[in-house]
Amino acid sequence: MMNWLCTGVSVQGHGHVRQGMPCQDAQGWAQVNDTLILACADGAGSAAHAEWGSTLAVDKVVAHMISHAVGWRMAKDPEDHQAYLLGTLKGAFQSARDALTTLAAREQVALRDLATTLLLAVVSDGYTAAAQVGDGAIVCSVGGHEGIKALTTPFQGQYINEAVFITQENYTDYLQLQAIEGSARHLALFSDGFEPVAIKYATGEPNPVLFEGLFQFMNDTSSQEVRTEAVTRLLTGKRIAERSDDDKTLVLATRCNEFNEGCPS
Amino acid sequence: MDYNQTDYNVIPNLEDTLEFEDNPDQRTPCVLLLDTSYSMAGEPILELNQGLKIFKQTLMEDSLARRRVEVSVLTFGGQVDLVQDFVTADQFNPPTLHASGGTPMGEAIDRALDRVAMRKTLYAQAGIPKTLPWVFLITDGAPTDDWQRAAERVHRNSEAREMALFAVGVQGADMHTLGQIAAPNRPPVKLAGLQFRELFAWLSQSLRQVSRSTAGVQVALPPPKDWAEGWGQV
Repeated sequence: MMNWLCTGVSVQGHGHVRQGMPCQDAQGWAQVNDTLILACADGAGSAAHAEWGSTLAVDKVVAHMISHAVGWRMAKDPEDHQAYLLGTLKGAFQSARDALTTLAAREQVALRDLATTLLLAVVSDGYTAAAQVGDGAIVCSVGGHEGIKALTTPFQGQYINEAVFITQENYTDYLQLQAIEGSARHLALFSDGFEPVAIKYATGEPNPVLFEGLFQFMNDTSSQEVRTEAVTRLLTGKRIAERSDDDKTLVLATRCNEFNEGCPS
Repeated sequence: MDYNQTDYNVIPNLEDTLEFEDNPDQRTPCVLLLDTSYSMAGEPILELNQGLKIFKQTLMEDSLARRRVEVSVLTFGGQVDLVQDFVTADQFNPPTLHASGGTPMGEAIDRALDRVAMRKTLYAQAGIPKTLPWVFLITDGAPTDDWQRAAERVHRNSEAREMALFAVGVQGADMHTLGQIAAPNRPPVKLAGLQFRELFAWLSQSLRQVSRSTAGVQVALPPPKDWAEGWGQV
């Protein structure tokens, strides 16, 4: 049985405080048997009900993954399992979009009023897979000397202020899907408010010092309360505030080993 | 920075992971390991606080030192408190310390050496060059806890050039025990009167010099002028 320590925090950006906007980011995670599911979403600042969109999208993809993870069996051919995982991620995105469409109809708002990015990661049976539409990124470390890897990257349009959302008709054109062999030891998902410190713009690579520090911290800190407080302080701290006034979300997960005191046994 | 926030002990400071990006300069780490036990109450603690202000001022006068010298403050008075985690001098706000309780010097030294080791790991991960970390211990008493194990660690770490510990005894300090804690090649020094200001002016001048060292060039420290009784070799 594989167990995980997970910590996720969303904080309201100063820009949102100033403009009286709520925090429009959302995040969630779940563990079902040996399967880890992590998600986050960043509601568009320009969308009237972005926080509904991001919250519902996260709930839906996590629920979709849970329902498919219950009782799934590793395919005989490992290749099949990889394809199955990627297919399930795709299905999760579609179910989130369908739910947004239903909500928009029920609340009589335009679908674009719920515009949100969506990031989803899953670790299952020796594979780590990720899916994303829009900004933010998913990074992982599989351990050993492989270092920190980006599974997905922030959407890059021609201009920095262009964005894509799952509410778009053609969102699948922008859907990044990635699976790697091996169960990640550590994972991080984050919204674009965290990007300036997390991604080196020059190279597009994740900031290794930051993520190694964060993963080490997850490994060393057994109390969920302490982890949440430390991550909240990081996200609301002045070093990040200097670089971004947007909402910020960070979801961290670390696989338990025999040295983690805080792990459920 | 909020100095009431002395719970770095409990809540890890994750901003550490970001600071080297803003400032990739070489670092000269210095832990101020300060006795704030009850016997320091009154004039000694007031003078110590003044000394910390002068320490900050003198570092700030130097455009390299303010980016390179990293200060951390650990106090031991009743309990060990990490009052200030490592920050560059320009981010350092001198705390106002109060005196109370016993003198858990052994535990304090242990914590200081832990912090230094963690800091060095962080430098290594970030690819930041460093000079030898200094632990500057100031006390007016005798340890009220088990100090022998800490002393052994100081000796081992000094030999391995993991750090250098400088011990300063204020009036009333148990210089004999302090001599057993300090490494043999760096015997403790006795502070003349309550010359904390002169002591911290000297310390910051020394750190300024060290912080501009370049590869292969070791800096000779200035002799302590007016604050020490019988100064040995640094």
